[in-house]
Amino acid sequence: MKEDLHRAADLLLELAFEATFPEKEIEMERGVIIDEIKSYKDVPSDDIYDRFESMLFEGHPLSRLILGTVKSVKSIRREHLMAFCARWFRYENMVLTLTGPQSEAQLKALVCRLSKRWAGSASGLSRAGKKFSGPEKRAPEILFTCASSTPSHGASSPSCPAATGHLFHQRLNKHNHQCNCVLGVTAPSLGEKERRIGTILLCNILGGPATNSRLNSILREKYGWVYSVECSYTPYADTGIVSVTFGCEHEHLDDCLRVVQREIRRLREETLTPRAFTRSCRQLLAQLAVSAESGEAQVLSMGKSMSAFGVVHTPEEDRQAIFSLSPELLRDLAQELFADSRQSLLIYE
Amino acid sequence: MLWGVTDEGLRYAIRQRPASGVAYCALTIGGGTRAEEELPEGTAHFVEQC
Repeated sequence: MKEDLHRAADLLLELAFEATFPEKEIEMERGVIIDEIKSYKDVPSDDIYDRFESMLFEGHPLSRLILGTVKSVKSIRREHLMAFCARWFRYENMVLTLTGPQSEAQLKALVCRLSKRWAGSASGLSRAGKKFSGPEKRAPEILFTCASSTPSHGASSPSCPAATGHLFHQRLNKHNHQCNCVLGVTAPSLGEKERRIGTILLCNILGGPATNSRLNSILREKYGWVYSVECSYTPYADTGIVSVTFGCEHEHLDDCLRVVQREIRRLREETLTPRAFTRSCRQLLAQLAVSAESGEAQVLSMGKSMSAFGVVHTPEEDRQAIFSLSPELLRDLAQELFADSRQSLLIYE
Repeated sequence: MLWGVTDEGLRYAIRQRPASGVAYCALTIGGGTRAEEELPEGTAHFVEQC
């Protein structure tokens, strides 16, 4: 409740700075995570995406599995957890976001009080001295350090190995009841504003969460070949990933792939009419507005925005950024992004 | 909406929601799996789970 905001925020900071990681709890959590890893293996739609991303970014830190492997999780010790916190859980690498019915002056006063209260712990000095014997490292203030500042048609700066990713077409026989498929490409990074927003709009048109996305309209609503099909975009500091994912019966796999390629080709070759472009922009804005209705989603979004860009954009700024795109820009971006030579494919049969 | 950095270096963003009876807070940390460096794979997620 609103009356408890100061306690909740204080507790979050205490968790970040004063975690002791008792051995008994570590062992309990290890079991939970290993169980989670094994449960993912039984969900091909989850497993295939993790494998796809690992293959695309092989040799780059982005290829690491979030959950880890059973072997790596078994090797994690208390000092590893303490070292990670000491290195990254510092003020220069954190954002505290609050929303509530209180006035902005009251909320800001609370932030300032908490900031002072935890400043000693946040410097990392106490933990660095007591619990972490590794080298001191300063966290990046802005995450997209490798991003190209010019709208070149390469994804990011050449110094970032993840910009182009690896190219592969692989089919693995998993003997599952369904086929699962991921078709993906590397994509604009966080720092490439216009191309990033253009990619968001393109993905929304192709396979966004609304039922009127092109792929959903055809693969699910028209033919009934899939339960769900999605085109997602995740921008990172120095690259990004766009992927089309779906599951289908074995007999429909080739047909589904043919439709996906046909719709990608339409985006590359056909320019949206002004009316279709405007409606696509309005739909994306509506989705953002619906998301902003959730207080939880809002504080998370504000935190990500501050962490990546150092600002939080207003709804009006979002509207301007989306409408500053053009049908021609989207077509050109689709040509570059979804070029045949850039597409990787992973299929579980 | 307000955002900025406290004197101690903590970045923040705040937004009033006048009609809400509930308040929300989040602490975003710029370090995940790709920041594990030499630590075992899965360390960041392990920290989050704990």
